[in-house]
Amino acid sequence: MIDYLIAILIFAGIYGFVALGLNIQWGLTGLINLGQVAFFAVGAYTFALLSKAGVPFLLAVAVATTLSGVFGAAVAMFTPRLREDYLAIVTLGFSEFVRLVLLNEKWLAGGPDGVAGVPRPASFPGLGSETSFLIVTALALAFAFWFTRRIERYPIGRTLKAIREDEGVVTSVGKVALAYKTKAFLLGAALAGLGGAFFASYLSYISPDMFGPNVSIYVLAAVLIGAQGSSVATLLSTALVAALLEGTRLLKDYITFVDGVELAALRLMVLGLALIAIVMVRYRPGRP
Amino acid sequence: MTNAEMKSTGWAMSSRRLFLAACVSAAAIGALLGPSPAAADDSEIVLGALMPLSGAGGPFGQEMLASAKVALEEINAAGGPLGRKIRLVEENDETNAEAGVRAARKLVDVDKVSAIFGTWASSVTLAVAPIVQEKGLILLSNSGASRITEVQKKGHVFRLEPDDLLFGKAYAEYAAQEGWKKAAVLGLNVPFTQSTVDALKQRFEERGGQITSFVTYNEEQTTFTTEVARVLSDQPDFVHISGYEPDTIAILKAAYQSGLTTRFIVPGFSVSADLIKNAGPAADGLLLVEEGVSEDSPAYQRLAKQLGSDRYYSFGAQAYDEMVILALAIEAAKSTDGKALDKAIREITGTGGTKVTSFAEGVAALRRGERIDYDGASGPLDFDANGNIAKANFRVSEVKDGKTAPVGKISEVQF
Repeated sequence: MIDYLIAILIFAGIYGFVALGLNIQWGLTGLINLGQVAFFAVGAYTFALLSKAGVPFLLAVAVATTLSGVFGAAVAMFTPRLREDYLAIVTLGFSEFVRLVLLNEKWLAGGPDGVAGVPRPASFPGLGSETSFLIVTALALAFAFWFTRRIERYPIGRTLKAIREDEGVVTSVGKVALAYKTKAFLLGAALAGLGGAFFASYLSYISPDMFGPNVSIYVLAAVLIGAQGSSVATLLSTALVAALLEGTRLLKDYITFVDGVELAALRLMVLGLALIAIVMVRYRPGRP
Repeated sequence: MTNAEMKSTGWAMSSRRLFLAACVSAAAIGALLGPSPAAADDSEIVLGALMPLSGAGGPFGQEMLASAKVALEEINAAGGPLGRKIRLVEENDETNAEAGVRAARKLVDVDKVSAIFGTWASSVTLAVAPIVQEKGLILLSNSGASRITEVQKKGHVFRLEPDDLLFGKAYAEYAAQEGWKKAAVLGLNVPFTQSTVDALKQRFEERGGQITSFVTYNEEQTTFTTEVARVLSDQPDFVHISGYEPDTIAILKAAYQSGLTTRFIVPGFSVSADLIKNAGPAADGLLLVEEGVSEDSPAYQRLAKQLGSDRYYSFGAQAYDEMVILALAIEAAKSTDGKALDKAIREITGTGGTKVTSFAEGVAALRRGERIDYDGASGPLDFDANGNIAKANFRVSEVKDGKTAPVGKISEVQF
């Protein structure tokens, strides 16, 4: 049981990076990004290819994070006038673009075959591979959390919030909104890429079909439940989504009248219902 | 989502606390659901059925689960291996590698299974195999991708589905039997396409044939008029479509609507009864090549009797055999230890022993001290050094007026 919990915590932690990243873009700056999985994929593939080529773990993670950030900044810079729904469409399109390139360009990363045998970092002495990986993930997540908290509290965070509320006001006081929006995208994408690096390292096998839009949607659900605000709420709601998705698997042993086939459908229904219920409670009209 | 809603960040402190508390407690409840109440009977042997109960493999996963349960009943009715009952824990891999890994973790760590069987999508098998090998358990899969062979070389992983290479060779052998000389290929961009087509090309050229064109397409594509016209411009004797159900239907319809006629050969896993119904006259003359079963074997007949004899249970027969193989291997090894099972699986299926066709027969022979050779519902089941089916049988059937009828067999296709 404890090993299984460790595995689920690692998955929740990995999605925690991605959700923290989305929270900077969407929660803090108000930029809707439906394509967060693109940066997750860039991070995962960069890490996988580098570490298979013998690059040390930390360096591969750093490069994967940076490259994802660069992609994020590029998306922001190419869409200076897009907001809300239009930005959502472009980011969704970008994520599919990344997935299709990975699928079709066989020379790049194996095409549909994916990349197998991605190494994990060395285990701590005396601890198993799983426990060690959880510790490394937790340390990195703690760092990412500390980092996003600073962003929220520093002047840059206040400017980002101001952009969310009214971009015109920000421009009128002499700040270049595009530069800030680019930074928000860069940081958010870099965090997703960091998550991607851990994802590839943990699973040891990645293929393009793991980077479909449903990843973006799960993360979006987590940020939505966390009310697009604080990093604390974002991390907790990521854990909640993971528990809803995974905890229902354990319910099967208690609810005997539901078989595996029905449960498959039921699990996603439970998540959907929970999401609707939470949004209804959280976003009542007339609330401040 | 409106802009006003998006902007809501500040909210009353009490409600924030309440909300966070709700999050934490929900997460905790999810996490703390302890070991299952049905678990922890030492006399039981626990096996994990990790199958695609939803997603692209959904229909096959459900057939496999039903078949595994038929085998489970027979095994437990005969007293079980080593006189212990088998408990089957079913998990859904959603035809998705990541979900498959989480489900496999649950089977291994929570249910403490001795073996996992039934992974169908190749990506799931590739992702789950390292977990099984790390823990020294056993994985029996139903995936065809050729690169799985590399993973199987490390031991503890076997498969009952013929390697995709063998499918490619089967098309070539059938074409050679029929005297066809020119072939064209339309392939979905997924792992099995390239390996199948390479194998088809190699064997077909050995038999004096020639591939005139090979066109690939992507999953989301819905119109195929150009692709169909392109492959048919060389007037091939047959066209092989390497894909899944939706694209296969679309291609058949595109060919039908443009009035072009040719023979299409497709793998059985890309076609269901629904496809044949939906495609209507466009499916007429379609040739299906399916992983063979031993239709005359007592094992297959018992399975078909239980599940209804109106259908062809290729993956079901494999899942049935997987259960029986695991049970017999446990009896032969006198243990549920993965290392011993790895060896025992080869012993009870290899040639030279007393032929048995059910768990009850096998267990009786083993207790008399004989060597056994299990010939199952899906075939004679002899594994080669890499854990692959050494000689695969295939069945060819043709669609006529919305019905499928067998028209031929391709026997003992080898690497």
